[in-house]
Amino acid sequence: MPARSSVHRHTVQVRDIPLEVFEAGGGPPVLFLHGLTGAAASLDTIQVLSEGYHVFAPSHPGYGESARPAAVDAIDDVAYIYLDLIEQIAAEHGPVAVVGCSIGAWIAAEVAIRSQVWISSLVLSTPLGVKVGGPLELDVLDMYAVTPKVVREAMYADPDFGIVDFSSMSDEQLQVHFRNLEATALYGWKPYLHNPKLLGHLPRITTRTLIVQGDSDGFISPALPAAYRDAIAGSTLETILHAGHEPEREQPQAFGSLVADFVSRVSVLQNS
Amino acid sequence: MQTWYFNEAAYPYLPDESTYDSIRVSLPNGLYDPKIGAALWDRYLDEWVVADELGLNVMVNEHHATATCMNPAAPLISGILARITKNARIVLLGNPIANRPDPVRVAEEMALVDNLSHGRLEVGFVRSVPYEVLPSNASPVGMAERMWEAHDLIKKAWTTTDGPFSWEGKYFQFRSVNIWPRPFQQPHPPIWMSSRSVSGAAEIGERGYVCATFLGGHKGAKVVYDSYKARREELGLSAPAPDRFAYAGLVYTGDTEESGREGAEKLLWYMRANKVPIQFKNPPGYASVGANIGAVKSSGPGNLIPENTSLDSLIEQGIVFAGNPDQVYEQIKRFNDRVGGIGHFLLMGQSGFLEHDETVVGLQNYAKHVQPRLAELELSTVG
Repeated sequence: MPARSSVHRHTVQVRDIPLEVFEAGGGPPVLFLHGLTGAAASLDTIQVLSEGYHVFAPSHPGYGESARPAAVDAIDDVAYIYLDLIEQIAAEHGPVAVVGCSIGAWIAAEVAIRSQVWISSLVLSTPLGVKVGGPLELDVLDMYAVTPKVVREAMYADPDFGIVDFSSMSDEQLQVHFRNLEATALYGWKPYLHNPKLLGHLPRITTRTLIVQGDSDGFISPALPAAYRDAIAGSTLETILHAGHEPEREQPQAFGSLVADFVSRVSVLQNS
Repeated sequence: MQTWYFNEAAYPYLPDESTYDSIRVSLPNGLYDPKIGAALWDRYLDEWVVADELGLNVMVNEHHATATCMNPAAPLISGILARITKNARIVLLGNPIANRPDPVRVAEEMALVDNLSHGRLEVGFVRSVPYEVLPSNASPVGMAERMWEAHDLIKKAWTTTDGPFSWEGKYFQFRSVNIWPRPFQQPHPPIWMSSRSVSGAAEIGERGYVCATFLGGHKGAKVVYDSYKARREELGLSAPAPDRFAYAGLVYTGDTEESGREGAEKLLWYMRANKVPIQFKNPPGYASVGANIGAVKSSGPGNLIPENTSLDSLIEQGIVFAGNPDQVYEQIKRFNDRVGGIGHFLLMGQSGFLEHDETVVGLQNYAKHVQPRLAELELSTVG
């Protein structure tokens, strides 16, 4: 097994937008699209994936240290930016496996319904983005209406995992933390963390797709990953144990192995 | 200095605070008894009429999903006041136009009330407090920008007299905007805005509107007014007269010092009945990233209500004005001197369990013994 490589943080221009990108490893390219807590919180996952892949993990516009021009204020704007980034990566490294988590999975789905030309396989972990319940059924916990403790308990198998200790954070880390919260509110306030039209477009996805859920995810309804599985032909749904809404952070090894196995199996199928 | 009597129309008959999580946003309205509430409304409207009869102006505001304010529709109450008051000017402070989905409707409501009152309306626009974003489902991100676009559209609707126009903005799109009636006052009613921040006050200063600030004490108010003045100076605009500045404080004027302080103690319900959990106080994006970092490093998320709510401390800070008429006058005069002069004093003279008779006595003492001296104070300030 190759040694874990170090993660290199740098800035990539997509159009004129400077995006912070964490890059690691070598081999076939993987685009890792982070969840609600940002790319910097997923370094363990990025490292695990980098054991067999060349991982590119951008901070979404407005998150981390990525810029967000005023005109970028909705998830579809982010999807179009990532279509360009995928083309940039593919031009040099070939087709890209896209791995999205939570809001990153929503973005990945929005990317894939628009174009899958440069996408080799797709992993959607604890995906936000679709609405399946009725008007009085929340598919996603309203994190703006409950205490941070309730959010943590819903989001993690181990609620302590989600404790944010401001006193130990640098100014830069605090800035990233509050930028992440603001960006999520911007993209997800209304409709709450979904696009009412996305579910109807998901059947456009023909790329091999793996859906992932955490066995202890109290943040989203199990109906969401199930809806993705049902809408995307040939997709499979796997469950990671002892993980809530962020299996990639709570169980990075299990998550990384699951994703790596899937991406390599798809690659074998495509090359045979 | 003019005085505007303000009553936030609270519903104070709540169970012990330990039995609920929040007085705002999530407090079940099953705790509201419609019979009690309707009677309170009769009473509160009567008190605005008393203020009018005493020669004071009146002010109304609105909040949503809260027992601290039973008025979720200030334009409606303003319309009633337009008919049941005779002489008072009426300021609605304010319309939460960053949260309201239809600015044209706001322009229509205000124009209508201006007509109903024969031109006695003054129109406030506010960004509104953080607790309002959940009940309105208005995104806390980009509120200021949204507020200013709504403001621009409302002003355009008020002042366009030659038929319809279309508005295709970032946040609002309307075709055939052509409001009937148009405002009674021409070109439009006076505009007020409220702010607690340096940046907000500077933007109000640029436009020369009345800038109001609430319960920030003399220190907080001075920062706001100074920012307004500085921006005007920076832009080469005229120095603002005191009538560009308004301040809201809790006020009780007793016959004696003792009765004044007793009345004020009852008003402090407003400060003390304010149990609100963190998620309602600071929704992401409401405060800037820099302000959030600053708050983490100082005392935690910014509180709209001061920590020390002892009466003496609140009087010293210029948040409460209480005592006998001489004392109340001296306290307001001291505030006025400390902040550099204001033209409008927003008298919050009812709150919590302060009964009707007590409210009226406080208003009478103020109108008879304090207001005349404040009117002179303005003359001397202007010089």
